Amino acid sequence: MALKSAPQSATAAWIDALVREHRAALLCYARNLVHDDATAQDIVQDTFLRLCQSPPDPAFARPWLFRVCRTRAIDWWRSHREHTLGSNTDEMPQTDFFERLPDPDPSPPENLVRDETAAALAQQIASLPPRQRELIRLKFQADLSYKEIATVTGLTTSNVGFILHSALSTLRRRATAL
Amino acid sequence: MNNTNTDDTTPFTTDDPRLTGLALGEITDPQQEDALRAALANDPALNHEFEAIQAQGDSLRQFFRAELADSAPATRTTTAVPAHRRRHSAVSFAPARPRPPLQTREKILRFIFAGTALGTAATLLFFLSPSLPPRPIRTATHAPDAIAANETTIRLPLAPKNGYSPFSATHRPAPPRPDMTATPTSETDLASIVRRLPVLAPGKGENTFVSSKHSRTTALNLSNASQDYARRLSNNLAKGRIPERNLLRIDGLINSFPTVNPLAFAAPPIVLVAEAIPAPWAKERWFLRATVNVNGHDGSIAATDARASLTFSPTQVAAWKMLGAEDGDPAAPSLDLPVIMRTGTSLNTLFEIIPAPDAKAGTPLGEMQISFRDKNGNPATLKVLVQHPAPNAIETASEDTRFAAAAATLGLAMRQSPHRGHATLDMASQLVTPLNHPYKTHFLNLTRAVQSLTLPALPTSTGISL
Repeated sequence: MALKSAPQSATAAWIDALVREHRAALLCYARNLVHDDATAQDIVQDTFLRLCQSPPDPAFARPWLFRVCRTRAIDWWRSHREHTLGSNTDEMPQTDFFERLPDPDPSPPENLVRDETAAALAQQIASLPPRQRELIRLKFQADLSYKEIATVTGLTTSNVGFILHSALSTLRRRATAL
Repeated sequence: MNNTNTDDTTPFTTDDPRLTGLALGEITDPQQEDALRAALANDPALNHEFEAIQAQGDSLRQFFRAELADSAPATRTTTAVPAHRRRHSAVSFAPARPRPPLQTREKILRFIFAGTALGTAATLLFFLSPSLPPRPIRTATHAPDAIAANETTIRLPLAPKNGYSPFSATHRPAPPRPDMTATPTSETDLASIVRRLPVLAPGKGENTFVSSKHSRTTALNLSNASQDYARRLSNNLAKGRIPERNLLRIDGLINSFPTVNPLAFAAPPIVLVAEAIPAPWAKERWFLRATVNVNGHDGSIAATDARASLTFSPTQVAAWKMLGAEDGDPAAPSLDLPVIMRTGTSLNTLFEIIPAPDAKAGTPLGEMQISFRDKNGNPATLKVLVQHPAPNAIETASEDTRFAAAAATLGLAMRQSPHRGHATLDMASQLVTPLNHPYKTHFLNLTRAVQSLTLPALPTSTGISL
């Protein structure tokens, strides 16, 4: 996707609005990718710094933010993995990156477990494959369209639809089985 | 929708990605949408599945909205939230939080380009300054009479009976008093920086004054999560990075620096200290430091299930406001949860107080209390009365309280708090300069590092966290 610069005069207020609107969702998204609060905050911070330095086309700002955030998370995982496992993951294609990673934190966020329904839903989401979890979050938390999710993840729009359909079907099946 | 691998001409089934796409509003092809809706009208099973997907989508949105809400504010618990941290408190009478003018934000890109030069200068300043000295080993070599005037201390064994103990006091030589009437200057006052800091998101703002007639008790901070805050702030400033306003934390500033009060680390395992002085930044108000010290330095568990609170007397205190743990601060300590307390910790909670019109010297302002279980699991409670400040209590106050007042002054100025009064960077420096506090140099370096970041323009939103 070709991204052109936003008009300079509108940049400051526009960036301010973007930060306020998407910060929380980006933080949740990043946290889900890296499973570390402080790292997630760093990633979101870097994402907004990149936004200040190279503002994208306003029409694509939302998927752009999540794409940058995702790229930063992948960078972190690569660095982290190199340090912790001594392996080089550069050869891994981005689209499959999170599928290949172990899930270090399959349990749902503690603060979401407020009642049994939320706890059950959190548990079901946590048990989905990483790719499905990511798309569920992008669709229902970041409120991105299939097309925007495709921009963020590098998947095709058809793939996004299929993966989300599979994820939702799985969740419904598990909910019924309970 | 042409968004799935399913052939558009195949019959619709309940396990069809196109059905999910329709339920989620992702069908962009009108003809395909018409075909799907016709199938829904003729197939109850298909329609049932469609409605189930829609309901599922709503549930998921609601679920994730809760997570978003939990990510933004500091108040993570739904019960026992202190009144001062509730949004739009009915008893709040603080003025509305001012927002920086929009035009100041329009220089954000200029800041990015200026960042490199600024970062270099700040880094030089940082590395040329003495580094943070190691935390002192606390010993019990000091005599009890080293307590400063107005400092009310109670020392009890780990499993005491409820009640009060006498307190002692002594006077210290009076150092020069900071200029309380100082007005901000364009070069040294943080206002020029902070007014360009980001507009706080709704609900993220300053704590407000709370009428003690309506809410007289608040939980105290027992979390040591702020231990490295000052170091992290220094590191960011050295790189020319200034955090967003709501992350410039007064509680982080003060709890990065351990208490040096010698008696605090004497024989009693847990010591409560409450000391009030006139607020340096506002003549008519008081500043209160409420500290819980845990004796020892080996980091072993001294108490479990600990909760601390402070109750103000409505006859003496018209209103109070916590300094730090600000409303909406994502890094603010949770005040509502019982904690494990380890030896060698000192945890401060700071307050600004508006005295009641009929407040009388000699009458306690309130009562500080901590309840916990000792190493054997026995319940225990300590209490201490908070005394009135003397008119010139800044000069005779303990080093810890004066240091805490400096930290509060710095934080108020950095945050451009509507309650900052005359608080400036200079005032923070002046409050610390006469002290022999082991972290004085680091504090002054920190202040200078912030001063060095005065720029013609700073971004309205830095995205920088600590």
